[in-house]
Amino acid sequence: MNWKELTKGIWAENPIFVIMLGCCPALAVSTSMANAIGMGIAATFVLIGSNLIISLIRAGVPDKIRIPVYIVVIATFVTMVDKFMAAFTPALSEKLGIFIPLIVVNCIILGRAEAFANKNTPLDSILDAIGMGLGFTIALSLIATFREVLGEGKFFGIPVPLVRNDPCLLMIMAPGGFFVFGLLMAWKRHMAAGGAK
Amino acid sequence: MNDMIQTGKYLFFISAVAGLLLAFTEMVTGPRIAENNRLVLEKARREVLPGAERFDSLEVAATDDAGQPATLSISLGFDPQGRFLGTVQTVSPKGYGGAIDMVLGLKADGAISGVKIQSMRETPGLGTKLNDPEGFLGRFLALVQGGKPARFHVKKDGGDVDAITAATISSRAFCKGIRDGMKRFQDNQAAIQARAQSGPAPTGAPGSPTTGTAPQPAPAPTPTPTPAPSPSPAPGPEPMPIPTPAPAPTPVPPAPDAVPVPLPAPAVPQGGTQ
Amino acid sequence: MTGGIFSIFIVAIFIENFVLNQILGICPFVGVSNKIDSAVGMGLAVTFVMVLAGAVTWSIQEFFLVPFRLEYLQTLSFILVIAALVQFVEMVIKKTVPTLYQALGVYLPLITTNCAVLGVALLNVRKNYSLVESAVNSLGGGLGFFFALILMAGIRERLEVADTPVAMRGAPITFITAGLMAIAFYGFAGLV
Repeated sequence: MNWKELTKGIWAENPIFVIMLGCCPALAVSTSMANAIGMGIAATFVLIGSNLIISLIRAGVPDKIRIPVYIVVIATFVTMVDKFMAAFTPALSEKLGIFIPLIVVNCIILGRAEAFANKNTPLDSILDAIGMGLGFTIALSLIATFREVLGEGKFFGIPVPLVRNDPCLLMIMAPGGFFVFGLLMAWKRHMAAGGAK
Repeated sequence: MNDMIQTGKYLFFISAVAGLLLAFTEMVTGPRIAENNRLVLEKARREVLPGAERFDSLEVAATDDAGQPATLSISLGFDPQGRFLGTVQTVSPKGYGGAIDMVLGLKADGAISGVKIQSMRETPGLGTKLNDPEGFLGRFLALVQGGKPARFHVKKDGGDVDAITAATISSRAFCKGIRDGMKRFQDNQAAIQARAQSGPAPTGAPGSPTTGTAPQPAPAPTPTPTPAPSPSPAPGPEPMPIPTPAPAPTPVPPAPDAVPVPLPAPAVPQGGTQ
Repeated sequence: MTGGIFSIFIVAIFIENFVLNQILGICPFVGVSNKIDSAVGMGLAVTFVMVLAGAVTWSIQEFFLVPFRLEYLQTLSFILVIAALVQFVEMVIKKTVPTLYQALGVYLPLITTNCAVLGVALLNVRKNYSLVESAVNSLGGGLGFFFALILMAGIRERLEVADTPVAMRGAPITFITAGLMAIAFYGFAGLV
C-alpha cells in the first residue's frame, strides 16, 4: 500500500487550490455544505470508477484512441451518477443541476486518468482517486463553509448565531464564490510558502 | 490496416459495454425519476388547490407571455369523489431577472385558492422576497382570503397589493401573473365548466383537447374504494350535476393520501406555458 | 420564452454571462486571460466551437436521442460529439486557413474540456430551445465568454505592474477581480 498516493491529494497536490483543476463546480455549487458534499461524493465516485477501469484496461488501449476511450468511460460513470441521484436524491440533483453532467469535463477526472491511472496499478489508482476526491470534497466544503455561514447565516442548514439574522447574500451569489476562492487560494499559497512573513 | 481493425473493434467493444451499462442504469432509475418529476408537479398542484386529488388537463387557446397565440394547459382539480374543485395553471410573467414561473390555483368560482412560485431569477434578497411566506406571499394570501374584492395591482399602480420595497418590478410581475391566470380562467370558463361537468377523465386516458362536446356520464371514479351503495344524496355544494354514484355515506373515506391515485398523464407539463 | 431571439442573445451575453454569472468555463478564463492576444484567440475559438456544438448537439438530441428514446446517452454522445467536432475544426482550419490556425491552433484542444461548451449544449436542451434559439443562445454565450475574457485580460495587463502581495499574485487576484466584475454584471439584470 502506498499511502502517499492517498494523502497527496488532500494537501500537497490538492486538485482545487494547487493544481487548480475543476474550479467551475468548486465555485458554482459551493453555496451550501449539502451541495458541496453531494458534489464531492458524486465526483469522487466517478473518479474512483474511471481510475480503476482505466488502470485495468490501460495495457490494451490502442494509443491513438486513448482519449476517446477515457471519455467514454468517464461519461458512462457520470451518467450513472446523474441518473441515480435524480432517482434517489431528487432535491440535491435539482440543486446541482447541470453541474452533475458537467463532471464529465471536470479536468480533475480526465487529468488523473491521463497523468496517473494510465501509468499505475489499479490499487494505486484507487488510492489516488480517493485522495483526489477527498481533496476536492474538502476544498469544496471549505469554500462552502464560508459561503453558507456568511451568505445564509446557516451551517448544514442550521442557523448560526450572530450572522443568522443578517446574512450577506452576496456570498452565495457568483461574486462571493470568486472572493472566497481567491482568498483561500492566497492563504494556501501563503502557508505553503512558509507562513507569516 | 490490421491496426485500424483492431482499433475499431476495441472502440466498438468499449462503446457496447458503456451502452449496456447505461441502458441498465436507465432501466433501474427511469421509472423513479419519472415518478419524482410527477410528484413535484403534483405537490405544487395540491398545495395551491387544497383538497384536490385528481387532475385532468384541458388545452386552451390563449396568448403566451410574448403575445403570440399558443396552446396552454389548465389543470382541473377534482376531489376523490370526482367533484370539481377548481383549476391550476402555470403562469410565467416576466420579472426583473427573467420569467417567474408561478403555479396559480383558482377555485371553481374563480377566487384564488393558492399561489406558489416554482422558479425565478429575481435579485436575491430583493425580488426573491416574493416567495416569503411571512412577507409578501403571506400578505398577499391574507389579502386574498380576507374575502374583499381586491385589485391585483401594486398600490403604486392603484391596486391593493403592497409591493416589496426596492422590488417593484418583481411585485408588478407577480400581480400580472395573477391577473393573466384569472383572465385565462375567465376566457375559458365555458370549456372549463363543460369539462368539469363530465368529471375527471377515466384513468389512463390522457386529457383530450376537445372538450365537453357531449358530457356523457363519466364512469365511476376509480378510487372510491367503498362498495357500499347506500343511496344518500350527494352532498356536493356545487350546482353542477354529478353523474357519479353517490359517494360513501358518512365519513369521507380517509384513504386519499395513501391510495396512489393513477393520474392521466398531463399532456403538457410545466414547460408548456413558457 | 419571453421576448424572442434578440432577448435570448442579450440575456446570454450580459445577464447570464457564462463566466461571471453561470460560473462555467472558469479554467480557461483564468488560464489564458494573462495576455490580450491569447484572450482574443481563445475567445474566438470558443465562440466558434460553441455555435457549432450548439447546433450539432441540438440536432442529435432532436433527431436521434429523442426519437429512439436514448436520452440517457445524452452526456456521453454530447461530449464525444464535441471532442470530435473540435478535432474536425482543427483539421479543417489547418488545411484551409493556415493563418487562422496559427492564431487559434493552440487553444483548440483545450476547448473539449471547457465546461462552457458542454454547458451550453445541455442548457439548450433543458430550456427546450428550438434550433435557431439554440444557435443564438450558443453565439451569445460564446460572445459573453469572449467579452469577459478580454475585459479580464485588459485588467490583468495592468495588474502585472501593480504592487500585489506575493501570495495574491496570479490566480488569486484574478478571482477577486472576477468577483468585482460579476458584481458589476449584476447591473445588467434588468436590461431585458
